Formats: sequence, C-alpha cells, structure tokens
Amino acid sequence: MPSRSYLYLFSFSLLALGCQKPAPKLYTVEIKQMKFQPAELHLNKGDTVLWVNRDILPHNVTEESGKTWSSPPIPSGGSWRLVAQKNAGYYCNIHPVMKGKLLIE
Amino acid sequence: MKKSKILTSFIAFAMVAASIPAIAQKLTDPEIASVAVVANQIDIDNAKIAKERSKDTEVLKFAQTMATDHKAVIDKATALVKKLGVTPKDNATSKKLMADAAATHKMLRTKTGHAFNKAYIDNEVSYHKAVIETVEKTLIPDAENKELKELLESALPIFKTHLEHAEMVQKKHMSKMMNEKKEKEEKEEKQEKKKDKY
Repeated sequence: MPSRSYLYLFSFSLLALGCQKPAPKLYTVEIKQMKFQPAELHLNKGDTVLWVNRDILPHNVTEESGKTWSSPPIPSGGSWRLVAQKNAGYYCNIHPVMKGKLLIE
Repeated sequence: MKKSKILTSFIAFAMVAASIPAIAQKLTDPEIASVAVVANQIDIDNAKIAKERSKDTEVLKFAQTMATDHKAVIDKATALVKKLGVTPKDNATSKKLMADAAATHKMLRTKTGHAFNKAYIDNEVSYHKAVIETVEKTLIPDAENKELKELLESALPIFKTHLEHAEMVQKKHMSKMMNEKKEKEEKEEKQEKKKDKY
C-alpha cells in the first residue's frame, strides 16, 4: 500500500512538471548589413528578444500594424529588448524596407 | 559639308576615347578614398536641398536618413584613411561625380512643390543605382587595402537599402500625385455639370 501511494505521488509530480510553463528564454536578433537576422523569430509568449545593432548606422524597431511598441533609435553597438506577448511584424522606421517578424508558438 | 561632318565625328570619337582610359584606369586606394567621400557628400548635399525646398513628410524623412547615413559612412572612411595614413586624391571619377552633382543641384534649385519632390526622388533612385554599380564594379575590385575593401563592402548594403527606400518613396509619391490629379479632375467635372444645369 505505501508503495502505491509513492507511485501516485511520483505520477502527480511528473504531471505537475509537465504542466509547468517553460522558463522564459532570451533570443538575440542581430541587426547586420541592413537586415534583421534572423528575420523571423519563433518564440514563446513571455520570451525576451534582444536586438543588437552591429551596423555602423542607427536603427530602430517598431511594431508594424498599430505601432503598439517602438524602440528609441538604437545606436551602432547598442541594443534594445522587449518581452514578446503576441505575434508581431516589425520594421526599422529609419529604413522602412528593413522588416522582421516575431511568431509566438 | 561632308568634310565637316567627318571632322565632327572624329572629334566626338576622340573625346569619348580620351575619357574612357581616364575612367576605366584602375583606381589607387587614395583615389578610391576620394571617390567614396565625394559620392557620400553629394547625397548629403542633395538631402540639404530637399530639406530647404520640400514640405512632403516622406521626402523630408528620407532626406534626413540620407544625411545621417552618408555622414556615418564618411566618418568611418575618414577614420580609416587617417589610420592608414592615406590622403584622398582627386581623380577622373570623383571629378565627374562632382561635375554631374553640380548640374543636378542647379536643376533641383529651379523646382518647387510636386515637381521638386519628383525630381529629387527620381535623382535619388538613379544616383544610388549609379553609386552601387561604381562600388561593385570599380571601387571594391580596385581596392588594394583589406580594410578599405571591407569598408566598401559594408557600405554596399547601406546603398542598396537606400535604393529600395527611394523606390518606395517614389512609388508613394507617384500614387499621391495620381490621386490628387484624379480628385482635381472629378472636382472640375462636378463644377462643369453644375454650370450645365444652370
């Protein structure tokens, strides 16, 4: 009988662990050669995205559809971070042909 | 008559033939540095004229980006030539760029309103196409110094992005002009119909 209780307890713990949300991760998007690299990022809600500007020019990241979020100008060598909450297309509002996507899985 | 035609043709041919070796000749690193600085400075000057003459938000924003970006490239080139101990040297290509730019600036200063915006953005499209070609086909292959070559290679995506941006503004401006023309025509048509009624 005690061994059966342990089995239940063990199974319950496994189940609880399985239901736990994965710990938020940090993803880096490099801004290099006038491109967001990677241009499409697959991530989970709550993960953090860090944009690092490796170009010699300032860039910016702005949510495309409703401009719900926007970074200040990111200088050469600078970075900016955002906790991703939902799918978003974004672009650089200094160089509007530069585009990227955050895709929540 | 025939003689003078032959003479004119000969002079024209001689002029073209004389100009080709000067431009087609392999450029030295000091000459490449000069072309790079001049080409960037020309677009900063174009942007300055746009800021003086345009009221269009898109055009002004584009001009500001050109001024900031080309200044950043010049700063990088200046720092590199200083480090390498190279003095930029005028040459046929940089002189031609300057002469063409002087003519363009003169033309731009004669225009206002939509005509200016169109002339400015059309020139930005063709200018960036020409600069990309020069960097790809002449400056990068001719550059001897590794760091100078790398700088030119890193500037290329900037110029290509500028070209795409200029084409985007050109397209928007064109559709804006078409819409305004259509609205004007519709208004005139309505007024004509009103006149006919009375």
